[in-house]
Amino acid sequence: LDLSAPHIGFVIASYVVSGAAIASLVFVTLAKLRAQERKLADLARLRKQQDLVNDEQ
Amino acid sequence: MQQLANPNRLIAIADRWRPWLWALAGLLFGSGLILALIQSPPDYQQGETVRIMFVHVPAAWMALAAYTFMALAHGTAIVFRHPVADLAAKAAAPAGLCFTFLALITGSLWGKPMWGTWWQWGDARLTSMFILLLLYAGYLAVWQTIEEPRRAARIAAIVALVGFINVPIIKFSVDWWSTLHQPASVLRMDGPAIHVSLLVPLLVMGAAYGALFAALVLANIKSEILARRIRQIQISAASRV
Repeated sequence: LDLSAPHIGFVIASYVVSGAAIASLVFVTLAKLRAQERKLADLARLRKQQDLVNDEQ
Repeated sequence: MQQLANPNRLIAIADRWRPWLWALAGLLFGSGLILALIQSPPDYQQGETVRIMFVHVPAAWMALAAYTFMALAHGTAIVFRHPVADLAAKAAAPAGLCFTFLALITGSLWGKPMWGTWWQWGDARLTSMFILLLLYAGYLAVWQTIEEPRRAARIAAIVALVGFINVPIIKFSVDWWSTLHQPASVLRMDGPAIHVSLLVPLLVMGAAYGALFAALVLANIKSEILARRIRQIQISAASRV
């Protein structure tokens, strides 16, 4: 890659935009998955606690 | 295919394959970038600007592949009453939208130095790709705005299947209409028209985008299945109260 070539700014911009968009997509996808896993685990724990309270009653 | 209809089994398959697909995507992106930015020579006409092709073309391929996947998944849901197929289609849409956006932006960044313009509304390929972007946005808006999942899936299927007409139009637009965008140079009946030194990095980057797409779809499918479970738990808890 010749950094002094004409129009090199367009090449760099293409790779920066692509990298940023792909990194954001991966980050958002994984964050959403982690959030759902955590939420489901919390709900399961709550349900278990509620069942225990019901049993005691 | 029936095995994939069981959400638990699908989650197990997704969990098993996802780490390998992330690793494969990382490996392919690493080697693809080395080939694209260091190994491959500049083009005799385009110079260094040809390197934009290595991120633009795979993004455009995957934009079309993702939409085709969505249409096939919705078709499977309608024909075989496959319970997870609608979710698979929904899972592919964010990546498809991102790839379409990247194809348009990087295409524009290539167009300015090569064609002398960022955008040309009269060009069939550019305009049909822009319509694809709108279709992805509309498709995702349907899922976001309709709360009842079955109704959302039905309307999303209509958007995906009707919008699929645009996919062959995009592919063959450069053959049917003589406009600014050049004809296909890789996926041609008589073989690729570009030199092997440019073809290899392009195919490696294409494979990297493909592996990334597969990993993202599997992660999103799991996310959607878990979201449905959460919704069911919340509904049953509300009905007990």
